[in-house]
Amino acid sequence: MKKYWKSSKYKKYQRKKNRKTLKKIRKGKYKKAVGRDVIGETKSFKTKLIRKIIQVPDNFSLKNNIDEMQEFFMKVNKTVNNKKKVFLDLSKVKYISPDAILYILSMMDVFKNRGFTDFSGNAPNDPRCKDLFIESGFYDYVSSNLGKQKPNKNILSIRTGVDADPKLANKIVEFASSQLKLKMRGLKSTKGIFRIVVECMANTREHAYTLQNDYNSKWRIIAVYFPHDKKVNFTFLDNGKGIVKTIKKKWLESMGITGNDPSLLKSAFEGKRRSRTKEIYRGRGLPAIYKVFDQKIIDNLLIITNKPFLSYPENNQGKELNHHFSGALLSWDFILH
Amino acid sequence: MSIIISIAKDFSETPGARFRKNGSFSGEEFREDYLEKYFLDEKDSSEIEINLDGVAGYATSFLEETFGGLARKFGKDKVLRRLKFISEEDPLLIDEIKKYIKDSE
Repeated sequence: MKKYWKSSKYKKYQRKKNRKTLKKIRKGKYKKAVGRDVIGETKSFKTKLIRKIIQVPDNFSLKNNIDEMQEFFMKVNKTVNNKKKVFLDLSKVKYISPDAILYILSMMDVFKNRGFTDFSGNAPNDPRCKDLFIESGFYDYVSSNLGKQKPNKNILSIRTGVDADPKLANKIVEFASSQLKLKMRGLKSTKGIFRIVVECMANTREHAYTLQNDYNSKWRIIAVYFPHDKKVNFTFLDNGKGIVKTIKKKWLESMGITGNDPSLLKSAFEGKRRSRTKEIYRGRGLPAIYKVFDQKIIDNLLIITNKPFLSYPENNQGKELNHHFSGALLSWDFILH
Repeated sequence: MSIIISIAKDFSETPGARFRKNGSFSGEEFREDYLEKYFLDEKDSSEIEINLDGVAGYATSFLEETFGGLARKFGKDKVLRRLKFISEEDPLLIDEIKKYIKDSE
C-alpha cells in the first residue's frame, strides 16, 4: 500500500503550507522558536514548536540545595499552569543527586495526571552527571532517543511500585550487602535496612493517599553505591500528602497556634506517636525508621515533607522550607564502619 | 503437643507490611492463615513455638498486626501464655513483640 506522505496530494498540501509560512517569515510576523524562549507569536501560529526553556540549578540536589530547587519547581509549576510546554535544560548541571532525579519523575507524573504531557529536556553535559542521570534508570520512564542503556553495577536503578513489595526490598538490601561485601542475611544492619524500605513502601499505600483508588499512588526508590566513601545511599520518594499532613494533630496545632511543622515531624519520628488513624497501636513506622538511625545502622538520615526539612545528625531541630514540598522524601546512607 | 512454626520456612523469607491490601506476605495474612486456627478452641492451651530466624527482616507493622492483632482478637494473656518465640539472630525482637502484645488495644 502506498504510504500517505509519498502521495501527490500530501506533497501538494505541504508545498502550500510552506509557501504560507515563508510569506509570514518575510513579513516578520512570526519568529521561529525551536530551542529558544518564545519572543512573540501570532494568533494563527501553531504552538507545537513553542517551548518555555527552564534552566535547572547547577547543583541539582534536594539534599544540598533545597531552596534553589524549590524555586525551580515553582517556576516549572507556573509554566505548566499557564499551559506552556516545558523544556528542562540540564546541560549546565555540575552536581546531581538521586533525590532530584526521583523528584523530576514524580513531578512529571503529577503533571500527567493533570493532563499535561508536553515535557521535554536534555541531559547534563558534565560526564559524571550525565552517567548518573542515564544509569539511574530515568530513561526507563520517559521517551528518549538514547536507546537501551548499559546498567552500572554500582547503581540499583529506579524502581517504582504501589504496594509494599518485600521481595524487592530484599533485592535492594542484597544489592547493598554485595556492594559492601557483607554477609547476605542475618545481620542486624541488613534487617534494619529491610525494615526501613518495607515501612516506607507500606506508608505510601496506607497513609500517603486518602483516596484508596488514587491513580497517582506510587513510590520510587533508588540505591547508589559510592566506592570512595564505602557507602550505599538510598533515596525513597512518594508523592502523596506528605508525612506531616497525615499525622493526626491536636486541634490547636492544626490551627497553627502551637508548634511548627519541623517539630511535629521530629516528634513523630522520635516516638511521640501520632498516627493518622488515631489507633493507639499504629504509628510505629516512623519511630522504627528513626530507631535504625539511633542504633547507628544508618547515617545522614534526611526527611523532606510538606514544609519540614529534617536532617540527622546536622540540623537536629529541623528547618521550615519556603514552599510546600509535595509528598515525602527519605534518604539515608548505609556506611561500612 | 507443641506446634512449631518457622516464619521463614512456612510463610516467607521476606515478610511484608501490615494488611493484605498493602502487599504480599502481610501480617494480616500470616495471622489469619497460620495462627488464628490454633486459638479458635478456647480450651486449647497448647504451646505454639514461633521461630523468627531466617528472614530478611521484619517491618514493625508486620509484627504488630500479627501478634498485636492476635492479642486484640483472643486476649493478651492467652497469647502471651501460649506463644513461645525463638530468635537467635536478633533476641531483642522477642521483647519488641511482647511489647506489641501488651500494648495492643
